[in-house]
Amino acid sequence: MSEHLTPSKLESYRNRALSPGDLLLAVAHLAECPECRAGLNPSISANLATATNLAAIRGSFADAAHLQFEEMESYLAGEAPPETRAMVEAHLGNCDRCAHEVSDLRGFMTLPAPGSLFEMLAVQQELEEEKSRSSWFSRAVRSRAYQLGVAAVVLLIAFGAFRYSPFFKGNASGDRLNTVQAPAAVTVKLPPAELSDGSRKITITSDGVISGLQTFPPPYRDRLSAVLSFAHFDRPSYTESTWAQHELLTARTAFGDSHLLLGTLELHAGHYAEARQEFTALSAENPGSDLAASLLHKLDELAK
Amino acid sequence: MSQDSAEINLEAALARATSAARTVLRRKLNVTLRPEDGRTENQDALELLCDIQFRILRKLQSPDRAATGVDAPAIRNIDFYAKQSARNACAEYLRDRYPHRAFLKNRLRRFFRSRPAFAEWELDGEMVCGFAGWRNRKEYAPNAKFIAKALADPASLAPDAQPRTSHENLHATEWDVLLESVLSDLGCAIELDDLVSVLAPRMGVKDLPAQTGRPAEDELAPLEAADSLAQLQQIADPAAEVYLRELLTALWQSLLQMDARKRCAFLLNPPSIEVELLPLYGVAQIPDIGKALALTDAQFAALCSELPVTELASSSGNRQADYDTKFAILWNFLPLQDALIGKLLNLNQQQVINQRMLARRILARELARLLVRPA
Repeated sequence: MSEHLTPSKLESYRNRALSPGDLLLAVAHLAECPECRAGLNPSISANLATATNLAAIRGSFADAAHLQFEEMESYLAGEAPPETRAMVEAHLGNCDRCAHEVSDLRGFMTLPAPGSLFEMLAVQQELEEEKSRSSWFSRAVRSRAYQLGVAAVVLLIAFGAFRYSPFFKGNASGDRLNTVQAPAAVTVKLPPAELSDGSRKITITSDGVISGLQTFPPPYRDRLSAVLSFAHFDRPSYTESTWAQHELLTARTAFGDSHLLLGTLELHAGHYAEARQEFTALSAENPGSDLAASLLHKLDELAK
Repeated sequence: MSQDSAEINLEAALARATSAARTVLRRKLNVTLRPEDGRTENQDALELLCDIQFRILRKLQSPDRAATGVDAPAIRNIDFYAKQSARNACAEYLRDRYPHRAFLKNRLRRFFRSRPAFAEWELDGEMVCGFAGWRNRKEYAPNAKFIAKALADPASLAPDAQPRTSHENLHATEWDVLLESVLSDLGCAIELDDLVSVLAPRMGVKDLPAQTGRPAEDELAPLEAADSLAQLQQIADPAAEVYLRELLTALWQSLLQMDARKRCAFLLNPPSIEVELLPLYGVAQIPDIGKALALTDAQFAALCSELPVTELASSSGNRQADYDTKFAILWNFLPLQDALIGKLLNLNQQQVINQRMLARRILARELARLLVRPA
């Protein structure tokens, strides 16, 4: 074995300051001499140095052994760039554990959005089931196939009712999405009215047809028309409340200027104080509007 | 600074970091970390702690290297590093030992990341989840009481916060109702792992860590002081060197079998100290590593234009001697930046990172059988 490395040589090695010739000689010596190797870490023993090196390697590979959640998610969502996709696929071909995790997550990635028609129907179905759990029939009703069937039938009926309604025919030449028929169960007939709501102008005709809601997506239009015609202005059901609470964040971002929509969602979420703030702002935007004043009044009654 | 005072500082820093790591391990794995506690989880946790301590020690020694700019950056916050190491170790341990629990955790993460009304975010290094509106809050409940209560008495949760079926069968609205109820019950954000612990037993997850309730902090306090460098010195196994050489040899063999891009991405910017140790333990000499990289004259020329060194472009006529010398010069500049490696390999920076990650995954799998501490 060659001569031991001097402290200054060890220091130069640590600092990567050795010339190529000295470096090759020093490394050849270090590979054979535990004593000099220990000199590279003067504050700890040789055994401890070895143990720390071992732990560093174990640690270095521990997090590399499997895919991280973010990689699996972006891969399944189709958002991973091609190189990452290739890397994930290469790994999945060799790793059962990650393949199982990806397979399990794949089914969950397509979870429908809450508030979608199917989900609302499914919940409604379940609430009804609660009432009739004792019968054998209820067990059949609980099956997924039955729920899907019910959803399909309700969709068909709803579509049929809409397709052959006078409203559909009467507006064939216009933009039917721009106007929403107030639900049939309207008991309070409002006089024709106009409301300014942010950048929108909402009008109610003498026939009870509400227009000006076209900038909102369909579920919001239904809710707004139900509130504007006072057809649905009472304490929310649990499902409604849940839906509205979920939607509030999205609505605030996308329709922050609509006091009518935010007030409606707050109302349906059961947040009366917040709903009042929004309807008060709507009233201020529409001074002298009977409709805006009626919304506030009705809300106060409900809150009591 | 004298060597004595450096050692005292090292010991104090290690004891402090160990204490931080212990706290995380005990909380995440529900273990006591008492040596006499023979439960498998506890013994596994003790082994994890040992690994974490060694890694902390390794990091603690890096500042004097960092000063020269040739090693990993010094740890700015040793407590944070220790806690993060412990969190990562726990996450991988739980994922490995309890796959069905991992399925549930993945689903929850997906839920929180995809629903606008909910969110997951990192707070003090901890992954927490809650309503999106809570994201800006700077605190979350450690939830110890809530979790202990929920685990001991399922009826303590609100009716809607009690899943009625396994997580595979829940549909979207049920997830919404369930998590909304749990979070409303809590009134504040919760650690994702804690949420998994509360929900898993009620959602048909069979493979669960034993829940024994958490030991009081003060009950275990005296143990903290017992961790010291001296204790680690005792634990350090004289046979470890043989094991380390074995590990490095397997790693080197795997590297040689890899395709050139992965090998270069790994060897030129290794994630840890593996490459540095190869020549030190005689597994591969520096010229061997150079040969494995098989850099061309054009690549050396490219390096020459980027690094503050001119010898890489020179030639003495002896091709092999030239190559070894040039690589020995380059060795002093390792690790290289990914952008520079990309120039050598005609890849962009992200592609280099991906190639290295692929290499690490291959190595991790190859080494898995050896990464078990010898009895």
